[in-house]
Amino acid sequence: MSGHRLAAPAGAFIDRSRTVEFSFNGRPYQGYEGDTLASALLANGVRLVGRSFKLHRPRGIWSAGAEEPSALVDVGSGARRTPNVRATLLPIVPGLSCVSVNCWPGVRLDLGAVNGFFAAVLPAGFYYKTFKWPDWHWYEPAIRRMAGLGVAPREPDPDHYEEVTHATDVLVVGAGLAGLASAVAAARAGARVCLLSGSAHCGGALGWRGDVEVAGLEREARALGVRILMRTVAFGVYDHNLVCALETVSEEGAADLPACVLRERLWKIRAHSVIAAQGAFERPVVFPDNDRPGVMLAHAALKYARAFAVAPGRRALLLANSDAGLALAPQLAACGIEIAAVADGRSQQVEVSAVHGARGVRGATLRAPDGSTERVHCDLILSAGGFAPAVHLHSQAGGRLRWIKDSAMFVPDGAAPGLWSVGACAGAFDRAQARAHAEGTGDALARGQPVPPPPVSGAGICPPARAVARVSGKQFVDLQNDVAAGDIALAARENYRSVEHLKRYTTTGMGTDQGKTSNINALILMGELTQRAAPEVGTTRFRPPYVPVSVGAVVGRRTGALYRPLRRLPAHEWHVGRGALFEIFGDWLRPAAYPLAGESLEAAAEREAHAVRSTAGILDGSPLGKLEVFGPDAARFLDYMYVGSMSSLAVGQARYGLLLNENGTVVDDGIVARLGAERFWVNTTTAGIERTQAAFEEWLQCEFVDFRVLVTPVTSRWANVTVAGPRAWAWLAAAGFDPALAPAAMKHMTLKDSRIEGVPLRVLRASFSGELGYEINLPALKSRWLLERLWSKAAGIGAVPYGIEALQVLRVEKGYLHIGTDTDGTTLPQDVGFARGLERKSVAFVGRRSLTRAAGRDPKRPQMVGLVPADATTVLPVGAQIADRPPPTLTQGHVTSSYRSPALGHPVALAMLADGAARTGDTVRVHHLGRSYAARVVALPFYDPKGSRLNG
Amino acid sequence: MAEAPTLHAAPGITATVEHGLPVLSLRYFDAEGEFAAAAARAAGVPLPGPGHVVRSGPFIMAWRSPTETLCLAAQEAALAFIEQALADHPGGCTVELTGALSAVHLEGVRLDDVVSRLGGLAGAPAVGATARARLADVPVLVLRLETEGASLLVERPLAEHLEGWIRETLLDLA
Repeated sequence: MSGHRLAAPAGAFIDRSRTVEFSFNGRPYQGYEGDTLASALLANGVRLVGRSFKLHRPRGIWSAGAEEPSALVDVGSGARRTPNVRATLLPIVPGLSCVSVNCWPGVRLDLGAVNGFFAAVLPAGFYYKTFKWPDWHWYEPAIRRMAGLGVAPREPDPDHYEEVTHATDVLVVGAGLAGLASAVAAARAGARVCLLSGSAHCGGALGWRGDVEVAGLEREARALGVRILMRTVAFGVYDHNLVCALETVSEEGAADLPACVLRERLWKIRAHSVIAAQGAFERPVVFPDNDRPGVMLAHAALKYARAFAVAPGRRALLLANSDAGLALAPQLAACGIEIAAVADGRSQQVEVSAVHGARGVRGATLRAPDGSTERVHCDLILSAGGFAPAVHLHSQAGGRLRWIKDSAMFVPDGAAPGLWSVGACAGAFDRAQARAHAEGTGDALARGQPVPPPPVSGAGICPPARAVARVSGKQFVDLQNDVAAGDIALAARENYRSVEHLKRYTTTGMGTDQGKTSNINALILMGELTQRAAPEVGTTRFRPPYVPVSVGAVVGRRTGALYRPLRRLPAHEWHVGRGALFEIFGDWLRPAAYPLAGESLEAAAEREAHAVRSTAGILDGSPLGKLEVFGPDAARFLDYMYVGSMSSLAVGQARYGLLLNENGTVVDDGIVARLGAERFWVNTTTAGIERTQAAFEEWLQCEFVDFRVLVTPVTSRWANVTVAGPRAWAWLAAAGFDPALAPAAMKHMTLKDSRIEGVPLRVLRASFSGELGYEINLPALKSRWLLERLWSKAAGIGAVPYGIEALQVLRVEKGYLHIGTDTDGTTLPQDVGFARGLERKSVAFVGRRSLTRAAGRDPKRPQMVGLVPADATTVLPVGAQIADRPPPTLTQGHVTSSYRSPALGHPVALAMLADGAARTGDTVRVHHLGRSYAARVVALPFYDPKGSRLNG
Repeated sequence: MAEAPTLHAAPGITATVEHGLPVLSLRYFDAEGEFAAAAARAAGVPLPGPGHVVRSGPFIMAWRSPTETLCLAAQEAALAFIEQALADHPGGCTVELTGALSAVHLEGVRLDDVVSRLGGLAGAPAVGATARARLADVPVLVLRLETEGASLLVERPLAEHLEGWIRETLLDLA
């Protein structure tokens, strides 16, 4: 057994008095409270943890933090299964159950490892070159099955995720020495400070070394009221200093969780100033078979020893290409890890030419510059190639980078907008200087003073990574994506010079680790191969998220009933009582129909439409958009906004209008009624209320700035109960409505104020069905009362409630336009039968000039027509294309609305057809999904062309 | 305002909801003009400045935009008095909005905790202030009249969504 537990005092993070039982790949293990899965597995001598993505090579634990590329596990089971969790960050809890990813039937014997035999034919970009003949889709299912790592749960997530907004003066990301120092300094200066610690401990790399300075700063920060969020990782910086961070709330994989827990919290923090103090990652050394279980980042080994009292191996070979790496040797030895050899790639120029052991390190061969070799017996190879400052947030915020040649690292080049870097992520590795700079930064930001530049120093001399020449064995640059130095060379040979292209061609830097340990080495190798220095190659753009974020955290509470806001009718329960089948129309939950037992939606709609034509029906039209427009210039303003003159309306009169945008395109329609000399009632479409109101406000605020007009939305104030049909008035009269509303006393397209039992009504005679119609507007909370009052008299009339589907049948029979269904972003008023209305209107209106463009006058434009199927039985599919031949061919138009007409006894459809107005009587071919239909072009409307039914 | 049913409660916070809120919208072209002055006389308090809310007798006056102040009252009759006083007054108009808005009242020491968890980007406003915010994915006007009390005004058809979000938030806070 290689890994083992070390004796106290090692183990700053663990509690040896509390053992924790967990399982990995079905086998039981024990660890201590405070262990991560990685430390506990190492302590139990488990080296083989997973399999690589493409070649299924055996992989172990490589790091001790967020940068881990290999040790990914699926945690839990069923609905709570979480894929691809980094073992290095996963605390063990009682009952934790994990399995390796990307292996079958198991991690020790993985059939996917057969890919390794074909590695030579699976280089970078192989899938761009192969699987093309005869058809990619032949291979696609198998490749998709093989792709990916963990397995996502199929069941709905039972847990909760919340999002929290927080505002602060100074946000410090990272609770290491520099982060703590800057937070304390800012708080001392009187700023509100929020500090994020990615782990459960403050101090960063010093936290597990029992550093007294860190402990003192943490105490002071808490005393000063700094808000410290533990286990919270900032993953993205967005506009205006919005930082998003993910907090782990409940323990992943715990066996004793209740049915529903608050699992994660998404913090949205708006900060006046952001201080990034995320430290640095260790840069690995590149050598053959550097992915074997037992190869590890050197500082990770020290963390395992000090924080978790775990020796990842008994005898280590230390590959040190940096001063910091060399300094580790005595520290590791002091922890009880024997150092078999130290290979300094700088002074000795010694390279690892081979790693021995198939599933774990058993030794290594070192090669000197003179070609002599030496075999070292070891079970652990520690890789210390220098540092890569975590510049991710700086870069996300728009900051530039500069290259420090001696240390082969990128550091921030000045501050990013709103974000300053301190400590190792600023390139400041000298402890005293880094602390002083961090304090100065925190203090300056709190006081609004200039921030001092960071002292970039202390990283030492670290040569850039280089592939070992004349050796066999893959030299991995990106472990997670199986990208080796040879793949980088292949990309260079194929002339991929941009680092962005390199990334996409080889996939280096993708995946859950986003290249935290691979990006710098990849671009250095790329530069070497293309005779460019690292800064010339540059880095790929750092984008959020910095660490993987669960879909649950992004979604938050937007699941189930809270998935999206839906508006409910004020009389929703009344419709439920009538057996309504609800569907979503324009963000409203509305009755589509009221099906009888065993009746389909279509049959119900036809029955209801027939009843409206025969007797009467009642429709809840409350969602209809409503605006009150007031002011001395209201009439003039509405003339500008609508095709249709509104200023000529007398009080009590109403008129239909089309709303255009400045391109002349139809964007909404509605009815405008005059309530008073300076006051108008505007009905819009249900879905069009927001855009109509927005258009009104935009024109008033940006163009007609001298107009005195006030626009007030009143949709929620007024319900709308529509009664339509030849017996509509008889029904209203039976319910006690004022005789002044009778058709004989009230003309079509007029509006009257009325009352019934003291309830104020605004009654509009209008019709979207072609029948005698009353749109009764009344206070929303009275709509159920009115519906019940009318319903109590329905039986004597033979009336029915009708839903949106029946309304669609009725309006298509009449050839009435439905905005958004029969129109699109190209429809002009003349395309839908309003050419004469345009000619009649003498005053200007929005969009008028655009209508005079040549394209608008083209007689070949699609125009709205009626279609009747030749067989008089087929309901033409909506969206079907009209063309002489089956597609692909030039289309002449398409079907926009189509229903079976109960009044006519055959289907009818509306369509947009090129030169449609001139084609009445033609027979056209309608094509849809391989089927073809004949249809006759007819004039509109299909039903009651003289409109005699409007008056009952 | 009328006593409202409790929606949910958690330690340090109680939520109640009130539908059918009596509300009158005061619309004017000039906040310093004659109509606004007449409205102030009728309400017995100057109209609140931008972003502010004041209580005066039976009325709560809340600024909503440079041309609009909402007047809330416990009884519709109180609003009728204002409406009558401003009828046909030049420079503005009143628009009846009773029933158009619902209110979720939050009370307790954890008020800020709850508002910050409603999916918006802004927290609760200061005492005496209003804030237009997108909370629980719906537009809300937040009125804060007390340190430990705020009312979230929302269009009635969207109230159920806001209520549902708050209910789940309080469950997790409990």
